[in-house]
Amino acid sequence: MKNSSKRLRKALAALLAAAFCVPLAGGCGKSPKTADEEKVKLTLWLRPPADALEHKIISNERMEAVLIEKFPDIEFDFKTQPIGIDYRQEYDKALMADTAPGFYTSFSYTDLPSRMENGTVADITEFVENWDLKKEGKVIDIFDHAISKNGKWYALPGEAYTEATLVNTKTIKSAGMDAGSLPKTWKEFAEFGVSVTDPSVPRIGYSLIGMDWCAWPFTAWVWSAGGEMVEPNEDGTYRVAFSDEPAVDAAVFLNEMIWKYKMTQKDVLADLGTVHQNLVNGTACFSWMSLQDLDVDELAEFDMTMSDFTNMAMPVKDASIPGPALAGGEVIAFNPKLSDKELETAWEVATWLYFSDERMQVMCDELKEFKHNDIKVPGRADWYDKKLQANVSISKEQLESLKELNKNAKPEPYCPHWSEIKSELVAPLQKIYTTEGITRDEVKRLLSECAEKIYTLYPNEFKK
Amino acid sequence: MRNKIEINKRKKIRAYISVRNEILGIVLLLPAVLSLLIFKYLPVAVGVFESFFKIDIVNLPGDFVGLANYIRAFTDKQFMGSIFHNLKAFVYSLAMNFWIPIVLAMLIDEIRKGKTLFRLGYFIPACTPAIAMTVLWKYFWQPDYGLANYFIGLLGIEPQLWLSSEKLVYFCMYFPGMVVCGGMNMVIYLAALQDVPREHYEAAIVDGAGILQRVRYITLPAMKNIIVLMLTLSIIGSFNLMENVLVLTGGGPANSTQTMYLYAYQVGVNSMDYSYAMAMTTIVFVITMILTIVFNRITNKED
Repeated sequence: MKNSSKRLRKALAALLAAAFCVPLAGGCGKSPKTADEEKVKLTLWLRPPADALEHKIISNERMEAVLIEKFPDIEFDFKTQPIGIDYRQEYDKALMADTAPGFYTSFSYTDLPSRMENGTVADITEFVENWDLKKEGKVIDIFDHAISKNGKWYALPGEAYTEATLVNTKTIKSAGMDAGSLPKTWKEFAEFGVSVTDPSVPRIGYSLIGMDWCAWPFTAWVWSAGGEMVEPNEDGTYRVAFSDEPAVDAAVFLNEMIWKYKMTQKDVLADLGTVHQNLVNGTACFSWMSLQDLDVDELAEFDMTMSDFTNMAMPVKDASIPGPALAGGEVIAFNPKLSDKELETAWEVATWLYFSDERMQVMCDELKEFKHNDIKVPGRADWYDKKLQANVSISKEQLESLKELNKNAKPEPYCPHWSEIKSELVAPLQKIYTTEGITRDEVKRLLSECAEKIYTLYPNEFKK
Repeated sequence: MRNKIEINKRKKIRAYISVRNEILGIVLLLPAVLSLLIFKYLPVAVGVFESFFKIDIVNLPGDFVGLANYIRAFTDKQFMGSIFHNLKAFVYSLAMNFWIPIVLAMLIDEIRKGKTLFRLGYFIPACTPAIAMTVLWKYFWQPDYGLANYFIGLLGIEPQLWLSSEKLVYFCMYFPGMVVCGGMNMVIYLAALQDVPREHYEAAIVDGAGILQRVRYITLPAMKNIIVLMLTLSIIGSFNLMENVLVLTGGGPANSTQTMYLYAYQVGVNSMDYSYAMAMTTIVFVITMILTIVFNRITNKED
């Protein structure tokens, strides 16, 4: 018995000893640093997911090979952006865990004012101020107001786009209407919508976004009534303008499209995916989108081609208001936890990838090779026309409509807490969309209450 | 003398075996306890800790703000409104879902032939992943092409917005539980019912008790403990409500289904206000715990 007791104690002691020794042994086994370990490590979240379109996967494989060859002193860690509920949260989680990429290309420029405040993006002023391309005026400057503050720079411009109204001309023709003379005012738009809507087909005039991104297109509808969402005050704060009369007009018109004209889908709280499907499968004639949101392969599934679509500015309340479009886009922000050496490396790679002539040429060549479309404005302003011409699947007329759209494009507001303001607007807008026969006073009250909430939540940034 | 030595030896052996079993038990439990500590309690503790800070994700944990996030939560109308949505969800779950498995169990228990078939029939839907069922029901309620509007159309009723209607959304959320789900609970109730001795019913029938009296005086008292347990779980479930709502409505229309956890989640994800989100989830945890304790106290007193 004594023996077995001893054995048990021995076994436990051995277990404990092993538990202590394993980490020690791991530490002792480390060999002196080799040349490879001296390399600067750079994590990139650029690899597309396995189910991405084939041309994206091929293009990425080529890019990774070129990066390894061009930057032999960098140890690249190519990764796919983690799949999560929200891409921004994935970045934040990685930042907390020290696994965030060297630079990140998915932030909208409207995210930047808040991120500059909370320090989740690096200060890159030193690099931007010594950047020859910028000095030469070759870099787009439409995001400059949002990515810099008090003389400091926090991101590089990524690609810019415009959103307004995308038109399915094939569906319009199938309704017996003339796709050559599209409505310009709200009145014409409503009449047109009523004429094309036929639930038995099924066919609807306008596919409307009512889910929690509804404040995004609502912004453009407010502009189309001659209003603003927010307006700057002289002291650097902002005034909430989405409860002013033009915004009330826009909200009332959206409600009327649903309940009075019955020209939208019944599922008025539909998400972006549903709205997109409605347009590309030929159910809807108009929706909030742009040509750049279409994919040739996806269209083929519904017997559609790029030539069946065209861009149109937002219909306006009255003809004196220029038809607006909303300009948006992404920026390239850098990881604030990088060391000086790592930040320099990340800057070098990012500027080469997104701004060098070599990569611009590759981008154009691949557009032609894969025959897909990408009409976003690249970071290099001087390459925009060449890029547009490389879009072989897009006709000259469509490109003209795009240029026309860009003329009155306005940037999405970039005031502090813009994302939070959009979130706060979801509830009143959904209430307006889902209430049949809502009065104008009620609409005004809902928007005004939301405005008051913004003033209460952010007293330092918003003042009446 | 020899016997005494023998007895001592046996005592020692027994003590050794007992100690050895205890050690073995601890060793076998260790992985489960460790994973609970690491993956459950540690994140909860870190979350509660973070709720007292204004989180700075670059330099964790950020600035200490004491109870500021908690004070903010109690003055946040939207958060207080979301408590009401949780209560509403509880009332709906009680009215539409809670009693059905009990009735079903009673009915199936009465059946002499084909009991297994009915039990299986009701239980199978409970085996399908809840999220898949939720997505399927979302399609059912879809106002443009969903089956719901098709069925009421056959009856000559105007199409409805269902999940997009503030008036109907809770009904839509709990309707699936009424018609197909609840199989799991039914099996639990049925197991409790099958423990009730048949003689009690036979004696009651001899004494002239009708079906309602048998249910009132035999079935329900026999099931009381399990009903109390299920009700407690239902309270906890109603206050932890999130995934189902997120998939079905996203908290809409117009925040009318925004529950406390969903609001906290949206504050964390959309506004990146993680500390405030953690403060809210801590409050939900405390509310759920208090309600459960109070409910158990009340039912124990009744006993």
